[in-house]
Amino acid sequence: MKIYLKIILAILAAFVLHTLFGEISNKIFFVVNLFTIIVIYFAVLKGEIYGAVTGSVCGLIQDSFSLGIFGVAGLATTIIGYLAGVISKKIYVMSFFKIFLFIFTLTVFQLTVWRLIHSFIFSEPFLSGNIFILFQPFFNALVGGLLFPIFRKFLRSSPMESQ
Amino acid sequence: MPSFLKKNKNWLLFISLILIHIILISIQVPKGTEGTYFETFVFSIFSPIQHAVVSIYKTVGKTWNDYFYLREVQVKNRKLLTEVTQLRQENTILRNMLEEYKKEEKIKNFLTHISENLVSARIIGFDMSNLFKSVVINKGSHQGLKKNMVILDESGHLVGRIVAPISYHQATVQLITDNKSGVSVVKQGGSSIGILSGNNTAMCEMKYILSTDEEVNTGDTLVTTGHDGLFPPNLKVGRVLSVKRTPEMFKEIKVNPFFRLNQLHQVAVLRVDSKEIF
Repeated sequence: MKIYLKIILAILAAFVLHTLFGEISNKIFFVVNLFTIIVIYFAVLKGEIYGAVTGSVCGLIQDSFSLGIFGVAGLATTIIGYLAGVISKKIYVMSFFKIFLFIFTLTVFQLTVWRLIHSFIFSEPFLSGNIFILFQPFFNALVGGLLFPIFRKFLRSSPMESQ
Repeated sequence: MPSFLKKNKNWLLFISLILIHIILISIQVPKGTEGTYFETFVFSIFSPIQHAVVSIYKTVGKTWNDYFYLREVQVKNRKLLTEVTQLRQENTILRNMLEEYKKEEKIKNFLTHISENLVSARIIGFDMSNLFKSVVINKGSHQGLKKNMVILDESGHLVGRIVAPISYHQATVQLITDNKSGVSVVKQGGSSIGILSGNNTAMCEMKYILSTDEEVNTGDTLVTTGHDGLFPPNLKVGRVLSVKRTPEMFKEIKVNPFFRLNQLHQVAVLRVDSKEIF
């Protein structure tokens, strides 16, 4: 399967699951961001440009389903996609603990960038609104840590093979 | 020059993507909640998928329930519940509106008009950045939905209004709990008018009530005034939770909206232009 097709399918799967999370419980909807996990995965697998492009697409989808400014989530996710690709070339991200720490740090960074842009544009306090979003780094890292080995098996390619 | 481009290809592509996003943000900021064509395009592509996923999920859930429970009773019950909901919504709106209109003929025409234009819709998605900002409903431009149409919950309480993007079968609803939302409200039977605004949590705030004002108190019911030109008058909005006097000019009033987001599944869209109601 071509990598582009894999990315498109992964984004669609994330969108479908995200919608289902919303139907099941709106708390799950906010504590796990599958788009971020996918962006980081493809960045680790294929490098920074794939991460940035996947991040752009995922971010813009999220933007179109939120009332905020269109492009803010896109910008934040593009940056973490690029960073994930660059950092993963220098650090071996394979064990559960390392994946956990890697996704946790990047999600914190993504949320920080996203909130900073929001605060700057809307003059809102940095920490305002939905408290559940604060749990996102931990649960993203946990879910990502569990999903990465499954992704690797499913996509039959190791992150290190591409590097 | 080509070797420079080749050497820095990744970096240049990344910068280009960042610039594209900055341009998108710059275009969107002056427009506020009004969607751009590109946003509507992305929304139109993905909202049918969202619609389909929710429909399949509901169908599977329904089949499962029907199999285990008394099927006929459940169907009847659901039908009755829908009818009750519809009637309750109609009843609340009509009762509120009746007070405004005195002439019998005018009332008759108005009631028919409202009844014909109450569209039932289902929530199919939540705002991806903040739960209390917006929701997506399963009715869109095909059902005649337009910007600024009013959304009510099952009991006829105010939920919000339709904003962009609107696709063929889906529409975005700005909730009154969104911090960019503003509703002109008054204490039921009172005269102190304030602006109800959200703060991106389950609570709202009533603003611009002077510290010297003694009318608004804890437990009071707030209704719309219609002065904002967006929401019809006399729609129940919420109950005052706390009133705090501050050293500043205005009081700090917390309001608990009547609608509950975690219980919000079915809503009603008032498919009439607000101007027709005033």
